[in-house]
Amino acid sequence: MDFTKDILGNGTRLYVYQSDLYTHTSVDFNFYSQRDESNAAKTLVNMVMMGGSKNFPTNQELSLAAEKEFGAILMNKSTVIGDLHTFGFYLDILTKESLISGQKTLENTISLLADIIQNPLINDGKFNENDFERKKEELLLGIKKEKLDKGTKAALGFLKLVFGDAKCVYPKNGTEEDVEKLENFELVKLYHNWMSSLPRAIYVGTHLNSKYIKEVFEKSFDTLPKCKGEAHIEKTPKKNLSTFFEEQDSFDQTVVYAGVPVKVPKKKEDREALNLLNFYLGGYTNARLFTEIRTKRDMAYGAYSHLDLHKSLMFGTAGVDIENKDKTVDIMLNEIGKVASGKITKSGFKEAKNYLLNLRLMSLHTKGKRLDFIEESLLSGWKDQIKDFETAYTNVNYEDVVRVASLIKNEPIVYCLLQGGRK
Amino acid sequence: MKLEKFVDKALGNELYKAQLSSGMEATLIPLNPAVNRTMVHLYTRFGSIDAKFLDSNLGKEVEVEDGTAHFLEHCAFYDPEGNDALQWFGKKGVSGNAWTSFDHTCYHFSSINENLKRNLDFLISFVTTPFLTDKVVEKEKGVIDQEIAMYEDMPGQVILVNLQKALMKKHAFARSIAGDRNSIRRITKEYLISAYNTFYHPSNLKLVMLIPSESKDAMKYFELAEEINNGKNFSPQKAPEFVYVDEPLEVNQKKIVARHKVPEPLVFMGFKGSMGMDKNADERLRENIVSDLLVKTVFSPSSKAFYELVLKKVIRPNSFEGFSYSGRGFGIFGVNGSIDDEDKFVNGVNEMVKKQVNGEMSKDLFDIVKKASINEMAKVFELESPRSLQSAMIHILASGFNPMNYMSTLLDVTYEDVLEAGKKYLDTDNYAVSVLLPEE
Repeated sequence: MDFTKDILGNGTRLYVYQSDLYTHTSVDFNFYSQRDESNAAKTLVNMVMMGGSKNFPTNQELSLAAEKEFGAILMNKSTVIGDLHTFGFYLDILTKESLISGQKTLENTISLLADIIQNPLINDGKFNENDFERKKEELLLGIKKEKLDKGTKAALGFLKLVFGDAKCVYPKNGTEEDVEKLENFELVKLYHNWMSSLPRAIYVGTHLNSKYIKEVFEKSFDTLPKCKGEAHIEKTPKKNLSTFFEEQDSFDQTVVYAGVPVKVPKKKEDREALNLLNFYLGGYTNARLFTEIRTKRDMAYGAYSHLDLHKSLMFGTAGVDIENKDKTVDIMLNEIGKVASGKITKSGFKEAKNYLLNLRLMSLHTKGKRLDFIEESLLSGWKDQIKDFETAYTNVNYEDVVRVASLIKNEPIVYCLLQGGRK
Repeated sequence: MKLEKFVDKALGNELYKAQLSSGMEATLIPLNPAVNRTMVHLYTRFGSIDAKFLDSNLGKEVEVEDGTAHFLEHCAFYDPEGNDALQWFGKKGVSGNAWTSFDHTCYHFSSINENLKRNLDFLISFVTTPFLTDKVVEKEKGVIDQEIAMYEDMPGQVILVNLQKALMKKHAFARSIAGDRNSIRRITKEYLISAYNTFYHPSNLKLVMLIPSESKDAMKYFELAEEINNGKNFSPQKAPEFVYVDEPLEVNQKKIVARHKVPEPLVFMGFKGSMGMDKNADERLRENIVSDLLVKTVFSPSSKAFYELVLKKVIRPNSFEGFSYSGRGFGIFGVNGSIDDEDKFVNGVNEMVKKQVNGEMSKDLFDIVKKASINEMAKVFELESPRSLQSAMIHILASGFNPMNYMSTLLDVTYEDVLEAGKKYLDTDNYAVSVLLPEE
């Protein structure tokens, strides 16, 4: 795997994956911090930065500058991973020489990004007032929209059942109350503080030489304050407040979540085995949940399971009619119970492993999956698995999967978002 | 077998095409040999717009229920013995799936570069062998009911279907692809058999292979497809006769308003584009590209006109987006956004469109947008998102176009072409609006 890691003069970690397969260069520039009540401010500062910079004073000029580079994609983003909040920028730039006729698309776009990060429009200790108010309103609307989204509401409902109001489930954009409280001048202070204190990292997927990539970033980010250290995801405390909860809303479909706690293994091989066990349970269309809920009983369009190692949870999800809710919960808990007690068929294991291995082989060329894997491995302290990306799961055998099944605690947690029907 | 070769000089891609003796048309687009992902598609020219057609057995025109093509997609996903084809794919470590669109239904698999013969044989077998029993039809009704319930909880899906209804007077583009929960209950085995017999014969099926391979090996893939087809003993059948309606220029309904789970009004504003199949494929491809560039230029977030609307609080920059949908004999385009006052949005955008088509559309911005379109097609072939390549190629082919002509046609389009199209189609007196208001 052609992967290099470096540290820029300003302390930013730089990770580059290089392959001749690519025509584009993708860049993730991330700032990391703890997930908490400041999520709203971090997301908002990120949004306001896209409102304009010293050399491109309006959002329209920023957008036009990126568009001129063969339609380079430049966007702000905020997300959460484990107990960390991440904000930053994503770029995707056409850099294949034969297609850009000598245009310096990478240099120009990185220089644009550097202007956004290093030279935001701050006058008299404030961001542009109109931009600030506009983005604040957009952020509020985004939060309201997420509260009305069935999938987001159900996912949060399930996590709140397990963790209550713990920071590790704090909404990535904060709450409406958090946003309402934000003031322009305070946000500027936070911006300066975060630029000089938060750990940051750049992930690049490219066909270009990694030394050249480093040179471009060193040259463009020459005034960014020095940052220290690396970000790490902490182990999430389990606060099992309750084990069963139902609430109703006016959706046309009922969403079922049924899960159990799992102990996260320290060894890479065991984490792979646990992932494979989850794939056997509900990772694809021949897995246990899909077979029992859709194929045999036609109760749902899909039924899948998920393993969240950062939250020490394994859970199944499905959207069903309310008449089938209890049956779906029973099936999910029954199937989870079976895998927890090591009742895994050899043929099912073989099939799941073959399917998962093929899925990975088919996706080895993609930058996004590889960079996400690298980022998650580094943040989680699982550096040992990075070098084995291409051979993951190859050596997992049936006995390994049965052995790690004992890490599942058969203590069911069930959450249902009940349909109420639209008026 | 005669192999035709087409080349996209701008991006360096190739396409090979041949007619198999069964009547099936086969296409190969070679991908970078270093990628370990083979994607094979078998699509029929039967989608939600084909609500009326000439039944090949009855020899008369029939009209089917909304959602028939999509329902058939579910029912066709059984092998000749009645087993779920998904299960077969799963057992072999192959990802199989299908989608239904306005003008086609596509069955496909993705696998590592092994066992092509076995997988291709299975794909052709299950798509061309009906297993339409009452039991299967009833079983799939349950699954589709939940699929529709899922869509009905999505504001973006609901508002688009309402816009389709508002735009079209006669054309079946007004119909929802999946149908609704009532229409699917009315679908019977007989409906499905009629559609199946008409559209699922090799004369209406197109095989599209996206395979990492060298050009010199192209012929072997066609020989393999021919061998598999020959083993199926298909009886000859004429290609289906499609029924196209003359859709009036005027929109059907000015405005449709509904309520949904949105924090503030969501607005889709749509215009009719080029309708019908009178023009040849090259002309229609050009019209499609012109429409696409028109939408991208007029509604570009990089334009001064856009920024003025933001400053006037007519639109929100992060929720304002141009869109276009086109295919076999239909085309619409427009813009959507979310704002506190839908009338302010519609009037403001209408005013902006009027100014643009009357000459204020920036020539410089058009040039930038056109250049950026090279990036889009190059990105699709980078295979970062295999699904994007699949849907782009099948969409272009199902519309009757050659993907290798796409870039050369795009590079040939001028500012004047786009401005003229704007004057013709962006008629500010003839548009439809679909609005979703927050639930009370």
